[in-house]
Amino acid sequence: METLHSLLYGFSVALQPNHLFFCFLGCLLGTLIGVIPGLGPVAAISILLPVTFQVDATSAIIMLAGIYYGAMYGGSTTSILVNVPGETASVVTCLDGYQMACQGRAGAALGIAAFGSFIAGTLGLIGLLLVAKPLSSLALQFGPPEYLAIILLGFTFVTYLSHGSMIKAIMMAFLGLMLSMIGLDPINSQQRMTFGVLNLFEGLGIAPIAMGLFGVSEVLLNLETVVSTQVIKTKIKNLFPSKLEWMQAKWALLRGTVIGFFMGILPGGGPILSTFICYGVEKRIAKDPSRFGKGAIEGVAAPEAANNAAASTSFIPLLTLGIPPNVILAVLFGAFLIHGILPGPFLITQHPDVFWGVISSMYIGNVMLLILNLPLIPLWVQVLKIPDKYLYPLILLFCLIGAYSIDNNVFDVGVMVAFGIVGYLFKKFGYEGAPLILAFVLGPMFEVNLRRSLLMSQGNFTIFFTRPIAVGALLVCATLIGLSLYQFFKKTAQKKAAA
Amino acid sequence: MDKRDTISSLVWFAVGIFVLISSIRLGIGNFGKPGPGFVSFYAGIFFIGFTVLMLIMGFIEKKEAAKLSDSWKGLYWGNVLLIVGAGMIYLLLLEPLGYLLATFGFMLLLFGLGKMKPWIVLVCAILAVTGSYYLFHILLKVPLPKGIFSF
Repeated sequence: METLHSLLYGFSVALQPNHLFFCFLGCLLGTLIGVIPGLGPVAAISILLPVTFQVDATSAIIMLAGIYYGAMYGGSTTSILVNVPGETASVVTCLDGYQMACQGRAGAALGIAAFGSFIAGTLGLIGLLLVAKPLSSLALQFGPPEYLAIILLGFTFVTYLSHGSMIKAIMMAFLGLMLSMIGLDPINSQQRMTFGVLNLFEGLGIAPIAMGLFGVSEVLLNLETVVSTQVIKTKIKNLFPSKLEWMQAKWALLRGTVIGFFMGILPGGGPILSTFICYGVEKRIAKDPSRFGKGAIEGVAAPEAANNAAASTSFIPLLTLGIPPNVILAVLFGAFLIHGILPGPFLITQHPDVFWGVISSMYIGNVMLLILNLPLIPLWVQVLKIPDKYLYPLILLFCLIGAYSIDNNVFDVGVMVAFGIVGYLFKKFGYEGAPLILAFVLGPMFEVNLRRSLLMSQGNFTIFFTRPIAVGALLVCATLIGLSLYQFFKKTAQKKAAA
Repeated sequence: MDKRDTISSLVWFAVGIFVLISSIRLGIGNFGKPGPGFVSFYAGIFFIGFTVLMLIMGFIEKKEAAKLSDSWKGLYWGNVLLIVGAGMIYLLLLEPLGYLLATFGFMLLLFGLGKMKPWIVLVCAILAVTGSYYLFHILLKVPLPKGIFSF
């Protein structure tokens, strides 16, 4: 009953005209970002973060959250019509979505993607609503050792689940941790690695780093290639899937939602991984797996449901524990801090308008996205036809002004350009930016909790093994490390045997 | 072995050493009373450990030999160099020249890379600069640099 009362309060916040406007703006921009290949929600949120400085914190977070889950909706359009994923969480949708479009079933594919996203997103939000408050209360009992163990779990997951080399992912996490040390010491305010540069006293900002790593580097990579986007020429009709298609997709939708729900909460998980897992599950349990990759509607329904459910539930660790589970939420964490709000167990009591307002706005946003996505599909198709030569200079321009407007300081623009070059080189040398950003955001929390734990125990590491939550999290870390070592030695043995 | 891994490992090794030296200067403290350089010191040690591991793996694993230039083969990398160089000059000129003039020059170059007719490049650059100025400076009240010409 109390939760329902809080939700109603949230709706009274989210339905205020200014919040409704920013929710709509976020959903619109998110869909647009999702539609445009190459520019993901991380870059979009980083670029648009400074724009939100002029508005109140609730409006800002509502808009930025809208961009995140809006991009999950929009990404499917390009996957289905162009066979190019608008963002990484829609990669799997290409496999069957594009095939459906080639067979003249583009309408059904776009329809099931939009309805599936809506259903899963809404179910995910119900889960978020039910879990958020009890978890916030539980988190109030956490001490530094518990927090440290959970942050370590996040680091371990993000490196374990990295796409490329695990060693490189670990190195990026350590690099992010070291970068987060620049600035004043959080305990005794001593200057660290600032070289006397005044602009470094408060450390490097998350926004210029994220804009550089994900926005500028993407533009640089695109400048060296000439790729023309070919939109499939098919008449988009029957956006509402037929009864047969609903019957075929309903269990896939549900399974996708459940997988997405849990993957969203998992540190290091999130929408991207959930789509790959649920596609694999659908293929494995299908009566005729050979249909997959040739236009199976379950192959569109499940991943689209999964990425939207995960997008909703990934807010749980951020809002309740103050720990961002993935790189997008890490940038959102930065947005909270810039607006003077610390996400975590106290958010619900200190800023109930932000907490409940953002959750309620996500329900409204899901309805808006359904309306935006289906009738406006012809408009999104036109967006796809905008040549890169017009798009990329504008993205770079937005990055430049965005970085400058953080503190009205050219130094931030310099940091962004430098990290743009670094991000470009990362991609050339096979490094990922995501573990770096996550470690950079979690770095100060990691340091403070480690040092406080050691001060509490007078240097005795057994403090981490005497508390059940900390022990549980550390056991999962140890299992994951053991698993990756096992996989490494198995692969090496197989290679030796083959040679 | 992959030369890109070797080169990046060596760069990271140098970064790790730098962090170690800086951390020692800051004061590592001890486990009972960790100092300001405590976390960065141990992060640096692990970081160096993994760079060495990557170097060793590069020698042990029979990876297909790859040159540094492979990452840029068949690509218009000159465009990237041009934009990076222009970006640096833009950074230097932004405050002295002001937002409108400096950004107009930068936009001319960026749109110019799209191989469009000169008048289209000019129109695009003017629209981008004035549109962004209106949105950020007039509507959102972002104080953009004015420069020597005071606009």
